[in-house]
Amino acid sequence: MWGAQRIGGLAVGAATLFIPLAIGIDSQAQTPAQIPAMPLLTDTPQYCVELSNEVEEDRQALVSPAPPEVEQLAEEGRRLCALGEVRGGIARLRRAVVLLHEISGRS
Amino acid sequence: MRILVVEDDKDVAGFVVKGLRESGHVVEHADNGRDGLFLAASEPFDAIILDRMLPGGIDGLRILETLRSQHNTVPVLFLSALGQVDDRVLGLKAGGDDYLTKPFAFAELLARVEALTRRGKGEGPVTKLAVGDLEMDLLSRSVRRAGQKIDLQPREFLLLEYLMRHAGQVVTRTMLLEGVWDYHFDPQTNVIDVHVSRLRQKVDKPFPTSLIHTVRNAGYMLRVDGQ
Amino acid sequence: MVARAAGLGAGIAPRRPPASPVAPRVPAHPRFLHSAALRFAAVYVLLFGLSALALAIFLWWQTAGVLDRETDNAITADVQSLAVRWNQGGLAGLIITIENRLAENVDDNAIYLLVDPRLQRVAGNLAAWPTSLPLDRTWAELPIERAGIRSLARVRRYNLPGGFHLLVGRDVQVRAELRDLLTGALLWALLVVLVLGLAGAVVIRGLFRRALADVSATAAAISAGDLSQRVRISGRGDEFDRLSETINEMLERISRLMDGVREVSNAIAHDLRTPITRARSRLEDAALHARTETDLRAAIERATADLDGVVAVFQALLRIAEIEAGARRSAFAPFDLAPLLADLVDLYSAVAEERGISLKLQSPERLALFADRELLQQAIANLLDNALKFSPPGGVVRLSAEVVSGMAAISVADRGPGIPSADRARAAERFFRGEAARHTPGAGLGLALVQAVAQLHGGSLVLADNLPGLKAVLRLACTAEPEARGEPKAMPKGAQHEAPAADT
Repeated sequence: MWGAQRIGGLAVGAATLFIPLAIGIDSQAQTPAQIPAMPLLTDTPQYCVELSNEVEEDRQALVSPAPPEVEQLAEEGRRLCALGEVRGGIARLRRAVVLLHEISGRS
Repeated sequence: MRILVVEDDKDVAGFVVKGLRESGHVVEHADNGRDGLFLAASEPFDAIILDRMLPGGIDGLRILETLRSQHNTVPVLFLSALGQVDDRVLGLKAGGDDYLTKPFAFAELLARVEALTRRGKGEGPVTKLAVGDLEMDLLSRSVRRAGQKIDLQPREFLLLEYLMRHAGQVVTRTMLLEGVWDYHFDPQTNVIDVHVSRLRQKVDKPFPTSLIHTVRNAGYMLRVDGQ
Repeated sequence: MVARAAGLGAGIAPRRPPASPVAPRVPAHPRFLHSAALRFAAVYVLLFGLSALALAIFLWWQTAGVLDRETDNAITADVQSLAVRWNQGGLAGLIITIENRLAENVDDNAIYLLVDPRLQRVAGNLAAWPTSLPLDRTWAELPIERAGIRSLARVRRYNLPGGFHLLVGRDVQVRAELRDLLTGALLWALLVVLVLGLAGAVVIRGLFRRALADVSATAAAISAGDLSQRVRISGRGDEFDRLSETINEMLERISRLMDGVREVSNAIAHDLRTPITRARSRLEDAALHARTETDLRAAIERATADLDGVVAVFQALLRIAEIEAGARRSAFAPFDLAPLLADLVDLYSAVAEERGISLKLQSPERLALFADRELLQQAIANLLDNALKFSPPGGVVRLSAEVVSGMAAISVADRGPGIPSADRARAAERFFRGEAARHTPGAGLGLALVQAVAQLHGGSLVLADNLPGLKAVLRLACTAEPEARGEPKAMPKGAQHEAPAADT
C-alpha cells in the first residue's frame, strides 16, 4: 500500500509540472520557424495609395462637405505612408474611410 | 438417593463420595468428562454433582448442555474453582440448578444436594404447608401452630416458608440468604442467626416442643422433634 | 494460591519486557523514506500543489482561453456574414464586401482571401492560397509577415459553392504573445509553489515530529521501567493534548493496577501468614499433645475455621481484583435500587436490634439504576456491616439514597468512633486497618471492595466525618439509560454483554 501511495504521489507531482509545460510547448508548436511567413497585401505602400484614392472618391461623392477630421486623418495618413510608417498611415486612412462610410450610409 | 459425582480431583472426589455414602446415598463416580456424560445419559440419577473443569475434552458445561438437549431434567449442582463469579450465571443459564465454589463445607454440599432432589419431585402448586402441628396458609399468608395464630413480619413469613418447604432437610445459612433475601455473598456478621432466633421466639418458644433445630456446623432444620 | 494471584495480576496489566534489559532503548528516528512525518508532509505538498495547479489552469482558461474563444467566434461570425453576401450578391458582391471590410478594418487585424477553383487569388489581402494549409482542417494557424515583422494569424477555411474557397482570419500575434507570457508566468509560479510547498512540508514534518516527540520520549522512559513518567500536556486542549491525557490516564491505571498487585503480594506475605500459621500450630499441637478424640476434633474444627477465614480473604481479594480489572462490566443491567435497599435493611435490622442500634432507611420510592446489582448489594452490605460493627449501643445508623445531578449517592452514616481524618485517605486501601479497628475482626478489605465497585460504576467512595462518626457515601454515575449515555468503553475479551432486561 505504501508503494501505491508513493507511485500515486510521484504521478501527481509529475503532472503538476508537465501539464503546463505541455500547454506551453503546444502553443509554440503551432508556428514552427520553417514555414515561410506570408505578407499581407494590406501592409504595403500600394495599399496606402489605394485607400487614399478611395477616400478622395468618397469625399467627392458626398452631398455636404465632409467634417474636417476626415481631411485631417487623410493628410496624416498620406504623410505617414510617405515617411515609411505604412501601418500607421493605413490605420488613419482607414479611420477616414470609416467616417466617410458612416456619413454616406454605406458601412 | 442415587447421586453421580463427576470430579477429577482425587482428594475432593474421595471426600465427597465417602461423605455421601455415609449419609446413606448410592454414589457413582466418574473422573473425566466423557465417562461422566456416558453415565449421566445411560443411568437414572436423583442428582448429579458436576465439576466445571474436567479432563477428557468435555467440560462440565458441555455435559449439562448435552443432557438438557436430550430433555434430561435431572437436578445438577455445579462445583467450580475459587473466584469465578460469572461462571455461576453461565452455569445456571445452561440449565444448572445450583452452584458451589470450592473450597466448600461438606455440610453445605450435602444440604444443597438433598434440597435439589426435593425440588425435582414436582408437587404442583401448593397452597398449604404443614409440619407437625405447624400450619401455613400461603394464600392468606397466615400461620397457625396448635390452632393458635402466630403473627409474623413479611420477611419472617418468607423465612419460615423456606424452612417448611425444606422440612426434614438441612438448610445452610447461605441457602437462606440466597433463598429469602436474594443475597449472594458471605456477610461478616451472623445476620441469619439473629433472624432465625427471632423466628424461634415466635414459633418455638411459646410451645412445648421445638420445630426449628440447629444443625451443628451446617445450618438449621425444621422438623418435628424426635424424628 | 500465591502463584494464582500473581498470575491474575500479570493478566490484569500485561507488560512486555523491554528489548534490552540494560540500557533504556531510545527510539531512533525512522529511516527517511519510512517516516510518517514525511508522508504527512508529502500529502501536504500534494494538496498544495494540486490546488495551485487547479488555480493556474483556471486562470489560464479564463484569460488566454477567453481571448482564443473570442477570436474564433469573431472569425466564424465573419465567415457566416460573408456567406450570406455570396448568396445575395454572388461573386461580385462578395468581392466588394471583402474590399470594404479591409478598408474599414481600423483594428488592422483582418485577413481575407478568396480564391477561385484553381486557387488563384480573386480578392483579399493574401497573395496566394497558403500552401502549408492542410486541406482537411477547417481551422489553422498561419505565420504572416507584417511590415517585415513575423506574426501569427488564426484562419478558417470555408468552401463556397462553385469551387471557390474563402479564408477568413485574424492577426493573433498579440494574443499569442499574451498566451506565452501567461504560460511562462504560471510555470514560474508553479515552481515557486513547489519550493514553498517543500518548505511547508519541512515545517509540517517538524511540527509532526515535535508533537509526537513528547509522547515517544515518555513511552520510552516508561518501557525502561519508570512508571512515574507522564506525557506533557501543552494546555492547548487540542487533539494531541487529548491523546496525551488519555495516555496519562492509561498510565495512571496501569500504575494503580501494578500497585494493587504489589499490595496483594505484600498482604499475602504479611497478613495472611498469621491465620495460616495459627492453624498449622494448632494442628501440630493437637497431633503432639491431644489426649482425647474430643480434643482432636475440637482442634481440627478450630483449624478449619481459621482456614475458612483465609479462604474468605482470598475470595474477597480476587473479587476486588476482578472488579478493578473491569471484568464485571458484563453484568450491568437496569434495576430498581429501592427494593434492594429495603431488603438489606431488613436483613441487618435483626442484628441492629440485637445490639440496640436503630437502623433507619431513607430512600425514594423508586431509584432506577443501570449497574451491577450483586456488586452493589455487597458494597452497601459492607458499609452497613462496618457501621453496625462500630456503632455503640443506642446509636443510629442511617442508610439513605438520592440522585444528585445525574449521580446516585448512597450513604451510610453511623455515630461510632469514625475514622480520623489522617487515616481517611488510606482507609480504602487493601488490608488497611486504622488504630481503632486494629482489634476488631476483619481483614480490612471491606472498604477496598466498596471503592472498587464505585470505580467500576464510574463513581467514587467518599468518607466524611459525620460529627461524630463516619459517613460513607457511595457515588455512582449510572442513573441514565444506556442508550443516552453511550455504550461502556472497550470491554475485556470474552465478556458477554447481556441485553438489558425490561425496566422493572
